[in-house]
Amino acid sequence: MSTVQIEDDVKKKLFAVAAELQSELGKKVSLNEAIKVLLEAYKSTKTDKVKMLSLFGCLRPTLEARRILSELRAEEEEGDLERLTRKRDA
Amino acid sequence: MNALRGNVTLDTSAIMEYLMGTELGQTVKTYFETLKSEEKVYCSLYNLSETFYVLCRLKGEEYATEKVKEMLDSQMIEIYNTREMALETGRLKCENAISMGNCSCIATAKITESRPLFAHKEKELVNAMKKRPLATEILFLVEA
Repeated sequence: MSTVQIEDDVKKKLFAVAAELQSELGKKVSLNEAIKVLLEAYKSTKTDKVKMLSLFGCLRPTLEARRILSELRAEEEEGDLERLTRKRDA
Repeated sequence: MNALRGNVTLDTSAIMEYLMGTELGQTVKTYFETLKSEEKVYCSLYNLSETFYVLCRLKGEEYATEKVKEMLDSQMIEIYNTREMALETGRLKCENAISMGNCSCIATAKITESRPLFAHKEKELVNAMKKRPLATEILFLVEA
């Protein structure tokens, strides 16, 4: 835990947010939790869901994509199997 | 699979299904559409490289750069790149015959207390899971 310096009016507003959350959630809410909620709310204004959703299906379904990924990973895994078998047998 | 909920770490395979717009990718799309403010979506730095690599092989560098940039700009996915994740990835790789990509997804999920999401039940992953538990719960878009 560390100390953060804030002005009195900001502190008052923060307490008000915590009180509001407390009554919404029906449980004690610390200032730390209130700040967390505010940060999440800030972050959500920054996210661009439409942009992410526009990427859905931008690549046509292709077996090639699955093949490239599985080849990339299979090469490693074959080597691993040999290595772990040698380690076990040693 | 049932609707996805909670914090999730996306493996490259799940991201690819989403980008291809397949039936499996539809589950990820619905998750994004209904994502709650308290739900977090993670992806390891390594899986991001893999995504770029697959796109680059398929459509070229310019296309891969553009799509990965759009994904990052949306800020819907948090790219996880901590030292702790790097070490945990290496530890998992050392003990299991699974790819670095799979390991980095599982390591990220473990550290962020989310659930790793893979597209398919890959044979190597299933074999490794039989030997020892890799994470609290691993999600698959489809059963093998």
